[in-house]
Formats: sequence, structure tokens, C-alpha cells
Amino acid sequence: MTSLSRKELAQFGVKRRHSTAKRTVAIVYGLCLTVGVLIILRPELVEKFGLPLLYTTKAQVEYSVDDGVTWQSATAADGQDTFAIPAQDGKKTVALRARDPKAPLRGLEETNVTLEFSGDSGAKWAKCERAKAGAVDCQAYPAEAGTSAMLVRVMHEAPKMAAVAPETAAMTVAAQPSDVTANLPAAITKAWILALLSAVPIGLFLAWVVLKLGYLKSGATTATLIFFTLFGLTMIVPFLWMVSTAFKTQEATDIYKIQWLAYPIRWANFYDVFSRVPFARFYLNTVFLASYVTLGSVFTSALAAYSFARLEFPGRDKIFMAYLATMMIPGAVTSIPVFVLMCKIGWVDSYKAIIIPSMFSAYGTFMLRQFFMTLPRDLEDAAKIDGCSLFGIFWRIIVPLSKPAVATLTIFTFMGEWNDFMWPLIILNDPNKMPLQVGLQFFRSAETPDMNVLMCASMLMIVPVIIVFLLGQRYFVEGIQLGAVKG
Amino acid sequence: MPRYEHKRWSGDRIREMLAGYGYITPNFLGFLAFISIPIIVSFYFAFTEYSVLTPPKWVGLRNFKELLSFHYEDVPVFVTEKNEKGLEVQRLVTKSVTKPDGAIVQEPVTERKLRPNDSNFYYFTYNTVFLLIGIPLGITTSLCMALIMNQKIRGITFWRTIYFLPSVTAGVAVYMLWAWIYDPQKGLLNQFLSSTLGYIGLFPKDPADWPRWIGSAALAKPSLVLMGLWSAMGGYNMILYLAALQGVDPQLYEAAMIDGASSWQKFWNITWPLISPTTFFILVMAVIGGLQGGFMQAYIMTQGGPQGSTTTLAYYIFNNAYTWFHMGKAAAIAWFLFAVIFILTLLNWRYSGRKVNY
Repeated sequence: MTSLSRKELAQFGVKRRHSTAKRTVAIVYGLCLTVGVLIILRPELVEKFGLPLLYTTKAQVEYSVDDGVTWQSATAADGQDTFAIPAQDGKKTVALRARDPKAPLRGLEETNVTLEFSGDSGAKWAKCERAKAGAVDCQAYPAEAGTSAMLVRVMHEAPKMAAVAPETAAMTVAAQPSDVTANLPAAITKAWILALLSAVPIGLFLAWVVLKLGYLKSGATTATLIFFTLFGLTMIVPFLWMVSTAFKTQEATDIYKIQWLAYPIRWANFYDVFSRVPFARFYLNTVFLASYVTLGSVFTSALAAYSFARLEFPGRDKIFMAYLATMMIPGAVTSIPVFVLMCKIGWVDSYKAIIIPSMFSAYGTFMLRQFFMTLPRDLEDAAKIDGCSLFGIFWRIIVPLSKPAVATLTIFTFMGEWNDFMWPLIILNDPNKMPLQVGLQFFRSAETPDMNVLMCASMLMIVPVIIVFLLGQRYFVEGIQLGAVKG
Repeated sequence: MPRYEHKRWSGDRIREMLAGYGYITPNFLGFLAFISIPIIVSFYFAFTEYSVLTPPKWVGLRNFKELLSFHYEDVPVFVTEKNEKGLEVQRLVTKSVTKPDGAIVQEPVTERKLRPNDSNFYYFTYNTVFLLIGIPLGITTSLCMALIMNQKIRGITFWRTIYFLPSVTAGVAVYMLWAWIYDPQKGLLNQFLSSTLGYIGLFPKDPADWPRWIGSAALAKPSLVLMGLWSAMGGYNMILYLAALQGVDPQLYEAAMIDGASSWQKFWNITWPLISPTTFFILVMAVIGGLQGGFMQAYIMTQGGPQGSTTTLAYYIFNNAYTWFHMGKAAAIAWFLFAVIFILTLLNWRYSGRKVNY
């Protein structure tokens, strides 16, 4: 059987799946998103990547000891923007210039660096005067230029176009390729074409997804899609800001302008997170505490819930009512005497003081009991006749049957414990015992915390929570509908 | 239970009884030690002066009096005037008084005013209540979200995941993130406003004039409310509403459609009454949670400041108990909080109970 072309189908009165109007709306939607991102990021792309988006700014410092006839590269020293120039015997002046290896494409008029030099290993820095608009050439006169090595550093600044040559010195001006300005517009166009070429397919893909999922069926669904998108962006933007900050350098967090792109990317933030505070230790502590509390709490709650739901004994309902009654009491009421108790028995600053009080949850007991009540009794009766013990019934029948409820309670207890802050803060003094939530405080102990490192730590902290949520989303939703969440 | 009536003291019955006690024992011991007995002890502490190091001293109602009652105080009277530079200054009002020895002296005029014993406490209660204004806003947005999500549209899981992220990640990390977003100069919010509103001249040019959000006494609380909205809008409440909406019988809508009801009439006469139990549940839970809330925000983002404008009762309890070791006073505030929650819950049950359809 041969398939018919679209034209042939049209002859038989078969309409296309989506009308042109819908396609247009979808394409506009997709392109708005991707090209919008490109437009928002444009100033940064221009500034950081030197407009053609594809090239990076990395100035290479060169020096000349023969008044600009020959130029030599200075060796990078101590950080990427500082360069060392070896001692030049007998020479009084050294000419300096910063060159971008990608200069022909970037255009020297865009160069926005100034140079500073130091003759005393970086104790004092003097600024190089610009010899010419755009070009960063200068002659340096360090006191010891002839005898000792010199350091040069590149300062990223806004271009200063009106630099005046100092009268006292004969300036060495490096000859620049003259065809740079001629090449520039072509390079810009090329870069933007490349950028759009990468944005447009993604936009079209989004348009295809939106059509495929039927978001454009009617006016209402289209409005829904737009609403969803705007709302989703509101939810996600703060997290993007966190991620962006986490990769920035300290200087990049210090400017009064939105910068979404972390450039240069500072991977050392991750190293700093783990080296400034015992972050790995905090992580292990949290995992340890959360696992123990979750295991203990779910097990004791399930056992008690089984007892409340199925077994007959005098006073059962009265005890259960007592459980219910305490659920309305604020945590602050009980935490004070429990803290005093921990002081009296010497448990302050120990894991016991965190794990044991959290292991008995009236709430978990209540929730599981309600679930167990809904299970049919027939299986249990059959098991009883077959001689199964009461614990056997609990372990082999009740627990497997209530897997969703148990899973829900497990996830919620684990997440609750992962985010628990106040009680560990009260109980623990030893930094080595602290969980993440409390430990993160140490990043802020400094007067001005490095936001990049702090955000890096925060990011590392919420990643496991998001993973647990994504894996157990079903139980989350069911749990909320069961009323498993307080407040 | 009638099933066991005929063998009241049989072996099975006793075994089951023992097992019943046995199975609740671990949980019940913990419940006694860490929940029920502490509640009683805490009630006792509320009537004592106690700093952990020395044994508690019974002081009767003094803690509550210190917190709640008022006293008269002679307060000097100030008038606001303009000085020669046109600035408003406060001047102490004085009057001439003839002393018994004939000398005339200037004395400040005072007036008798009713002042709370602990003015902080009322201020912090006000703060706590102020932060509750996020609740109706949050409930409204959650409901809107749920109504929109309740259509037969594919990919709901994807959107739900995104909207849920803020509530899942609640914790120190997110508060730190928001403290960073609210940073007066380098934070995202001000920079966003200056690059949008700034263009049309609605936002100050000079970064020194930018709003300080959590750093200013006037804006700190609204900022926290905004943050709370962000994290609660798409969270638990939306999912509760979604479940409630899916439980509404579609036949009702069909019937309404035949009768020619508009969408608003359908919502107001069918949806809203039928989901009122959920609204009620959300409201009660949010108020109970909200009254106890605000500790982490205060501790992490603002340290309760500026000028105590973000200190809530929970943070005040924490400071009293664990910073200044006024356990008695802390317990008294905690019980005050409980009393408020209890009364509000009762009122809720009483008054919403009539309007809520079950």
C-alpha cells in the first residue's frame, strides 16, 4: 500500500492535522521562548564573549624592550590575568600591550582592558596609560625595571576612549592590523546567524511539542499554555539564578547588573564548598540522621498503627485519642522540656538527642492507622486460620498491602528530616556533628559571605531533594491527597 | 467488638491483648517521653522562672502578666515642629512649675498612657498575624492554578513538577537564595526592576536609593510574604485542590450546561461549594502552620530584624528559650500560641462549619 501525499489527501477532503494559524501560533511561541532568551542574554554575550558569541576574551600580555620592533609574550603568572616579565638588564623601559589572540575577529575598538604593572612583586600597582584609543599599549617605567622582574595584570574595565599620551615619555605604539574594522561587521553577522541557527531549531522543536500535545486546540488551552509558561518561569527563575551564581567568580557576583551567564566559570567554587567547611561531613551527617529517623519512625509508627487498627485491647481507643489530641499542640511547647531533658541526661551535642525524640511520630501513627483501617480483613483471617502469628500478619500482609502509604510516609519523613533545622540547631554545638541545614550557616559567619560559594553549597544541598522528589513524585501526590502533610 | 464477645478471656484474646500492648510500646514510650509528658512539664514551666542551671522557681502568673498585661506610665509629651531649616523636629513640651521655695523651674509635661509591659510581645504577635496575609492570596492562586490544571491537557506531570519544586526544596538553601535575591544592590529582584521599570523611569537610577527589601523595616514583612507565595502557590494546596476538583461529579456540570449556566455560574454554584471542605481544611492547616511559622525566615534571612519587624512568636520563643534561657517565659509564649490556635480552630469549626458542604 502506498501512502498518499498531502496534496492527494487534500483532494479527498482530508484536512491537515493542524491549521496554518495554529502552526503559526506554535512557531511564534517556540521562537519567542528561545529567541527571547537570546535577546535577554545579548548584552552579556556581547560583553563576555566579544560579540561574536563564539570567542572568549583572554588577553595575552606582550612586551617589547626595543621600542616596539619585536614583541614577546609574557608568561602567565599566578592567576589568569597576571603576567610576569623577566628582568631586563640594562633596559630602562619596557613597552606593554595586551592582545587578544582572537583580536582580528573581536575588533580592537572593543578591547575593554587596561593594564597595570608592578615592579615590586605586586605590592604597588601603577596604571598604564593608553597610548591610543582602543589599543592598550603603554610604556612602563618601574623603578627597578632594569634589574628585577615585573608583574603585569589585566584589568577588565569599560573602555576609555579618550586616553592622552603622557608628555614625558615617548610612547611605543604597536602597529595593529588595519583590516580589523573591516572584518568586524561580517564577523558579527556571522556570529548572530550562528546564534539564531541554534535558537531557531530549538524553538521549532518546542512548537512541534506544543502542537503534538494539543495545547492549541482552543483559545482556552492556548491561554492555559501561556499562563503555564509564565508561571513556570516564575517558579524556575530563582533556581536559575542560584545555579548561575554557583558558577560565578566572586567578582562577578559583585556587580550591579543582572548577569545570567557565569563567565568565567569558576569550578573552584565546588572545591571551596568542601574545603572551607566540612561539607562532606555535613552531608554524611544529614544522610545518617535522616535515614535513622526515617527507619525508626516508620517502623514504630507502622507497628503501633497496626496495633491501633487491628488488635483488641483495653484502653486502645483512649490512647489513640491521646495521640490525636497532641497533634494540635505546637512543636514549641514540647521542645522546651525535651531540651531540658536532654540537658539533664547529658545528651546535648549527640546524635541520640536528634534521632530518638524524632523517632516517635504521633502523626505517622495516625496516618498509617487510617490507611490500615481501609484494608480488607479477609486476608488476615485466612492467614490466622493458617496459623500465622500476629507479627507475621503485620509483616507479611499489612505492610506489603499498604506499600503506597508506607512509601509516602517514608518520603515525607525523610524530606522533613533532611530539611529539619531548628532542633539540630538547638542540640548540636560540635561543627563536625552538624547536618547540612545547620552547617550551611558557617558560610555566612563571615561579614560578607561569598555568595558564589554559598549558592554552590545551596545548590548541592537541594539536588538530592529534587532527585527524591522526581523519583517519588507519585507518592508525593498521593500522600498529599491522603492528608499526609501537616500545614 | 462482637467478634470476640464469646471468648472474653480465651488464650487468643489474651495473646492479642499482649501483642497489642507490645506493639504500641516502643511508640507509646516515645510518645510519653517526648510528647505527652513534655506537654505537662511545659505547662508547669509556664508558671515558673527557669534557666536550666537552677531549679525552676514557681512564680504563678507572672510570666503571663509580663507578656500580656498593661500598666500606666507617665510619658513626656513631644510636639513635632519645623525648625529654621524646614526639617521636622520633635520638641519636648515643658511647663513652668513654681517650687515651694519660690523658684520657677521648667519641667516636662507628661501624660498618663497605657503601655504594655512587654511591647515587643504585641509587636511580634502583630508580625506573626501580618505574615498570615499570604494565606488568602496563596489559597486563591492555588485554586486558580488547580482550576487551570484540571483541564484535559497532556503534560500536566511536567508542569506540576515545576510548580512543586519551590515547596519541595523548602529549607535553609531556599531562604539563603531569597536573601540573595533580595540583596539591595546585587540581588536579582532590584536589578530586574531597574532594568525594566528603570527604563520607564519608575525605579530610582541610583543603586543607593533602591528598596532594601528584607533590610528595611517597612518592606521586610511584605518581602517574606512574597517569598512565601512563591513557595506555596504551586505546592501542596494546589494538589489538594486538584484532587478535590477531580472529585466533583461531571454530571453536575452537564446539567448546568443544559440549563445554560455560564462558566462563572458553574464555578460559583457547583465547584466552589463542593470543594469548600478542601478550602476549609487548607485554611485551618495554613493558619495553624502560619501562627507557628516564621522561625527559619527570621533566623536565616533577617535575624528577626530590622528593628524586630520580622520577629515572629516562634522566633521570640526560640530566643527566649535557647538564647537567653528564659525557659519559663518561652513556655508561657508557647502556651499563649497554643491558646490562640485552639480558639481559632474552634471558631473555624463553628463558623465555617455552617457554610461548608460535606
